[in-house]
Amino acid sequence: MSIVMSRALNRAWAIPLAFVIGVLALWQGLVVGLAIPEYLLPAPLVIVETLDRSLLTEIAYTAGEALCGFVIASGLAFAAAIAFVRFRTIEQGLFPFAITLKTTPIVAIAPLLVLWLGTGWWSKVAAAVLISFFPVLVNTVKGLKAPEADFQDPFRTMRADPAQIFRKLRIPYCLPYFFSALKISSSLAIVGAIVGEFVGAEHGLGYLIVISSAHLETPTVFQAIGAAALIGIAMFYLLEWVEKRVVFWAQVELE
Amino acid sequence: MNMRAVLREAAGTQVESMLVHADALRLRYGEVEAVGGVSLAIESGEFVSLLGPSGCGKSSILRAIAGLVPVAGGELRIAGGPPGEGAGLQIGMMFQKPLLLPWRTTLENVQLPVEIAMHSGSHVGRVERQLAMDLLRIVGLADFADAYPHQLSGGMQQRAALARTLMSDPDILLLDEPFGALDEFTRETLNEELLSIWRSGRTRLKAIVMVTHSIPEAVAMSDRIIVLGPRPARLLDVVAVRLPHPRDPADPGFARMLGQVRTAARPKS
Repeated sequence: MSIVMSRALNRAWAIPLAFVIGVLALWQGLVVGLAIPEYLLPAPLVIVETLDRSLLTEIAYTAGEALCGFVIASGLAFAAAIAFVRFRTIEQGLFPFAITLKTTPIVAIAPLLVLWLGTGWWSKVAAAVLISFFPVLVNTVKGLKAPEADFQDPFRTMRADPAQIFRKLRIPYCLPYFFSALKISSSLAIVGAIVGEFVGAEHGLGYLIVISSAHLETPTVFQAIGAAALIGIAMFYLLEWVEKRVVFWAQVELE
Repeated sequence: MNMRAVLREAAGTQVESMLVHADALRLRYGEVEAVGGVSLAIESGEFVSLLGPSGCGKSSILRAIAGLVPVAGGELRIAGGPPGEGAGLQIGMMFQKPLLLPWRTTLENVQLPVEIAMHSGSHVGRVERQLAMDLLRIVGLADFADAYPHQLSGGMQQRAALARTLMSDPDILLLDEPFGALDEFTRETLNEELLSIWRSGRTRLKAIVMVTHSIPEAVAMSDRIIVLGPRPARLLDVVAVRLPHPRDPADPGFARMLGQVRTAARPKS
């Protein structure tokens, strides 16, 4: 790597980092200077100082539920998308249900999930599945249909049957769409898990937020919020890493 | 493969040299009439151009020969039989866009028709692989066998598409303004290469049908030019080009031919 490039990289990191440090310093200064009570707005240093190893356990719960729901939802949505495109009757019949599922707020369904599945792991997984299913379904369907306009004629002149068109054209073609959807739904899955924990749980970041805010332990609330954001960022970058390797060819082809 | 050879043989004995025969052919897209009663014949050994203004329906004729558009009226016979699945002849078609699969290397793209014909997953035999490499050599892409489409220039992508089309070993090659999206220099080079492949006899091609709206291109390439009027396409004239190859645009005979085709293409009022 040339010196110019590494300087550019350093600059790319340095500017946002400087801003983050600036904002944190301003926050710290205001809280201390104006003597804002800790239960309203804790100073950044207080949030860091009160960090506890037990936070890791809660992170593991929420991340596990979200990841499990995300994987189940992605698999189901991918299979459903293939069924939708292969058999248009299924699409016509089930699409209204998918839309209903999408438009119903997960917050409204969550109490029912806890009632049915209990306060443990599965009600959170179910919430994560419900919320992250739709974006994957819609984008995968779009990706599976996308090559129709251009590629239909060459594949027909090669006399490909529908199964071959799926294997050799539609499925690889939809992968960039599938991965963009995964990046959206991974953060939604965390929302689902936390909402589930709000309603009824003994563990997890959502549970921690509810309990700590009730006891006015605001630094812990901030820690839990930060941890939730970190899970989302980690999943996003992990997916992006996988995406770059699986659909390396799409970097130029698609936006 | 054997079955096809038998069919081909049978078709060949029935109709000596007539590959494509259209009689008052009509084509339509929904309510829109694209082709309004065109009669034409394409014989074995011919390079034929369908010349006409943009959007006149000449591509529709090509698509009908490939069996991609149903015949709405009149008759269309390919080697004596109906177009499409049942045709005893193998038909290869090349489009305006290269339409390569971006996740496949050049070689893998060229092998695609064989994979589809043999239902062989993504594996092809050594013979087919060798054939694909030979075709890449013919179109001048041997060094780019392992490159991906996005690493190729537009002209190279169209060469790869040509190799892929030739991979299915077609009797008739249909070209829908194949180099129309390329710059003039690249287009001329590729046209010359296409002609030399056609004239070299290294393929089993019996005829080439090319759609174009460029009069010089039609004159430079074809043995016969079928001149079509604006939509719905009707036959205006058929011009035989009896100039020796290689054809030189600076040659007076070439200029005379251009004039003749231009007159034939002029709308009569």
